Amino acid sequence: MSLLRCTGVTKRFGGVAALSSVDLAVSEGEIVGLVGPNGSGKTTLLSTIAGSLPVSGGRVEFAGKDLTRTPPHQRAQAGIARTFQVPRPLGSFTVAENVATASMFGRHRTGRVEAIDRAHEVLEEVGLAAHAGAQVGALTLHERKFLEIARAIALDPQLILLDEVLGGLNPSEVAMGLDLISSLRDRGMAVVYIEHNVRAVSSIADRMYVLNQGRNLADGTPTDVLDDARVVEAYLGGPVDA
Amino acid sequence: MSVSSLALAQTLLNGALLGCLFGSIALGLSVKWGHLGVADFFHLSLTLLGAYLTYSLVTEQLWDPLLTLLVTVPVFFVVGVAVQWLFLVLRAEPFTTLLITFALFIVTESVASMVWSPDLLNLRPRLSDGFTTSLRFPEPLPQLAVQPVDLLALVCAVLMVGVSAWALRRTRAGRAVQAMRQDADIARTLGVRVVPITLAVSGLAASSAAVAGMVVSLRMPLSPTLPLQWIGIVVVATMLGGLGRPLGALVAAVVLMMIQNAWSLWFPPQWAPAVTFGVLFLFLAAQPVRRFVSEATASRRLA
Amino acid sequence: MTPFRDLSLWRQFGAVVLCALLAMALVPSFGSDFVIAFGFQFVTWIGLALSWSLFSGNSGYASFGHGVFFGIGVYATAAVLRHTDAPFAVALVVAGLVAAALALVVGIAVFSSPRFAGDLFGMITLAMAFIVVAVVSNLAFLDGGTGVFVRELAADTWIGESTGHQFVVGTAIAAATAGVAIATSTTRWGAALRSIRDDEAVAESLGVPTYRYKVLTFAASAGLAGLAGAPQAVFLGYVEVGAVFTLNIPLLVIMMTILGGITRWWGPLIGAASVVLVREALLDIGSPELSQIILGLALVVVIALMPHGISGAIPRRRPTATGTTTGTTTATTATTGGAR
Repeated sequence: MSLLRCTGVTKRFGGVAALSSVDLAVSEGEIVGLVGPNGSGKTTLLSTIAGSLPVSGGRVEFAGKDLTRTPPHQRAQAGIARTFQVPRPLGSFTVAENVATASMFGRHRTGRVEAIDRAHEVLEEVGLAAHAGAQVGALTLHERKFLEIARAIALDPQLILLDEVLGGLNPSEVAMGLDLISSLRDRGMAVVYIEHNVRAVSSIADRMYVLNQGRNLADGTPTDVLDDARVVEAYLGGPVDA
Repeated sequence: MSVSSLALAQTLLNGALLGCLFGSIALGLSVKWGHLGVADFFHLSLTLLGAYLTYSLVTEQLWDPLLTLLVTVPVFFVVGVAVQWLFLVLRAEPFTTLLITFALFIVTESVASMVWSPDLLNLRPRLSDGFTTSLRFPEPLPQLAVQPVDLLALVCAVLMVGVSAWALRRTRAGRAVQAMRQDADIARTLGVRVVPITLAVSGLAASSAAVAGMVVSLRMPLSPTLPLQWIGIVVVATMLGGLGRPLGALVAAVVLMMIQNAWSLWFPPQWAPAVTFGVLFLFLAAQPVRRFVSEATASRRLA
Repeated sequence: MTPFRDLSLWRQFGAVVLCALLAMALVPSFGSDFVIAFGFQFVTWIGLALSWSLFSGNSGYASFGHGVFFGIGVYATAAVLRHTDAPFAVALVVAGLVAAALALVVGIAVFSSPRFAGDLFGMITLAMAFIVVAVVSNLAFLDGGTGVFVRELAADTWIGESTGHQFVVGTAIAAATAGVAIATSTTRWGAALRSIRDDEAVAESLGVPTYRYKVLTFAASAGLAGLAGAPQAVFLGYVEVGAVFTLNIPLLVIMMTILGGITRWWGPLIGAASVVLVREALLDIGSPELSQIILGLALVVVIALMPHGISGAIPRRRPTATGTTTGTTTATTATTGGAR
C-alpha cells in the first residue's frame, strides 16, 4: 500500500487554481520524481503535503492516516520532512544546532545532548562535519542546500520532500547530491524529488509524475514518461499550451 | 428602556460621522501596514501633532483652520519621508521597526504634554459660528441635526480615502505599490523604483495625518493621550477592512462607531470601547470560517 | 544563542541563587532607607526586563503590554488584601495567575491568525492597555476611580512591616525570573522560541509546535510580570490607575532588553542596571516629560547603533568572533523573510 496518497488535491489562491485535483501516490522506500514546467504547481503540491499550505479541496493521507487538516509540525512529527527551495537555515543557530533542532522536535523527540550527537552523525553523512560548529552565514550555497537535507534526515522521517535541492550546483556537487538521495532510499526512506532538471531526476527516480498547469499530465517509469508526447509538448511548448 | 427612533437615528448618524474621522486616521495606517509592511503607531501620534499644530495656528496666529493645511500637509510629508528613510537606512526588520515606532509614539506623547500641557485643550470656543452651529436636515426628512465639523470629517474622509483607493487601483504608481507588496524583488525587476515609491507613500500617509489632525482639533478636546484611545478602533477598523484597503477601513470604522454609539444608548457608555475588541475577537475567531467561505465561493465561481 | 550547551547551567543557577541570597541578607540589614527602596525598584525592573525578554526577546514578537500585566499584578494584590483576609502569599499567586490568564486569552486569539503575525500582536498589546485601564477604573471592587490605599491594608502583615521585607520578596521574584531565563537559554523550550524568531515556517517544518510555544510562553512572561507587581502594590502604599498603567513600563523594559541585548539571557539584567542608573540621573532634570523624551530617543539611537546590545558586543568564549557577526546578520534577514 502507499505511504503517501494525495487524492484530488486542489489549491486556489483567490480565484486562481494553482492545483486542480492532483493525485499522487508514493510507496515506502521509493524515489518519486516530480517534474513540470515553471509554475506548474510542484512546490505548491509539496507545501500542501508538508502542511504549510492548507488545501482547498482533496485529501492527503500518510501512513494510513488522514492528515489533510493537520498542522505542519504534526506532519513533521508523523514522519514527513521537507526542504526549502531557497535554503532557510535558522540564522542564530550553528550548523549542528540547526540539525539538532530537527531531531529534538522530530519523530523521536530526543534530548538535547542526544540531539547534538545525532546531528554530528548526520552532518558526517552529508559531508558537512567540518562545519558543525560554524555559523550558517559562513556556508556556501551547496553547503546550505546540503544542510537542508541534513535537517530533513535528522527528523528521521519516512518520507522526504526535496524541493530543487540540487538547483544551482555544479556537476560534481550534483553527482554527490544524487548519491546522497539514492542512499536515503537504501535505508528505507521514501523521497519525493522536485527538480527542474529532468535528466537529473530521471537518473535516480523509480517513478515520475509530471504536472502541467496545476494538473496531472503523466506518470510512470522515467523512460515511459520522457517518451510521452504530451510531456515533450509541455516542456518544449506546443500548440496546446500556447 | 425604550429609545425613540429619532434618537436612535441621530445616534447612528453621529456614530457614522465620527467613524469617518477614524476612517481618515486609519487610511495612513492601513496603507503603510498593508503596502509597506510597517505597522506604524507613530501615524496616530502624527495625527495628534497635526491637531495640536492646528490648535496653535488657530489660537495664536488666528489662522482659518482650513488654511493651516497649507503648512501642516507639506511639513508632515517631509516627516513621513524622513521616518521611512530611517527604516531604510537601518534596514530595520519588523521587530525593530515596531520598537522604533513605539519609541516615537511615547516621545510624541511627552512632547505634546510638554509643549501644550497635559490638560484638555478645546478649540471649539474659538471657532466662528459657521463651524459650531448645527445644521438640521430639510423638512421632509426626519429632524436630524448635523455638526458642520462632522460634515467636514465626512468630506475629508471621502476625498482622501476615495483618492487613495482610486490611485491604488487605477494609476501606474498605485499598481506599482501593490506589486511591491507582493514581491519587492519582482517589482524591482519590472522597473518599479521601490525606494522613491516607498518614501512617497510614507510621506502621503503622514500628510493624510495632517488633514485628519485638523479635523480632530475641531471635533474634540485635545489631550496627549488621545492616540491611546484611538488605537483600538483604528487598528480594528484597519484589520476588518483588510490591510492596505483604505475603503474597507473607512467602512469598518463607520460601522464600528455606529455599533459603539448604539451600545451607549442601552448599556453603560464607559464599556463602549470594549465593543470594538469584542468585534475584533469575533473577527479573529471567524478567520478559519472566512477562509472556508471564500474558497467555497471561489469554487462555485469557477464551476 | 547556545540552546544546546548545558555545561554551565547549574553553575549559572547557583550564581543567581547566591547573589539573591547575599542581597536579601545584606541590603535590608545594612542599607539605608534610600538604598533599600532603590534596591527594591532595581530588582523589580530586573524581573520585568527578564520576563519581557523571556517571550519577546526570545521569540521576536514585540509586546507593548508588559505594563498591563505588571499593573494587573499590582491591582490583583490590592484587591485580595482589601476584600479578603488571605495572606500576602495568596495575593502573590493570584497576581501571577490573573496576569497569565489574560495573556493566555489574548495569545490564543491573536496567534490563531498567522496572517498578521508580529505587527498585529504589537498593536493589540498596546491597545490592551487602554481597555484594561477602562475596566479597572470602572470596576469598584478593583479601583472604581478612587485609587486603593494598600498601606493600611498591609500594615499588620509581614511584608507591610518594612521596605526590607518587600525587597526580599522582590529579589526572590527577580531571581526566579532569572532562573526561568537561564532555563530558556539552554533547553528545548529556548531552542523552540529562538527557532520561531529566526524563521517560524522552518520551525514548524522541523516539528516545533509554534502556536503552543508562543501562547504558553507569552502567558508565562505575563505571569512573571504579574508576580513582580505584587510587592510593588505594598511598596507604593497607594495604588492608582494613572501611576500604575503607564507606557513608561514597556518603554523602559524594551530599552533595558535592547540595550542589554537579547542574544544572552543576562543581557536584560545588564540593561536594567544601566537604564535604572540613567533614569536616576535624569530625575535631576525635574521634568518627567523631558526624561521620557530623552529615553525614547535614546531607544531609537540604541536600536540604530547597537542592534545586538551590550551582551551581544562581548565576544564569546567559543572562537567564532567573526562567525557570530555573520551569523546574526543572517538572522536578521531570515527574520525579515519569515515574518512577512
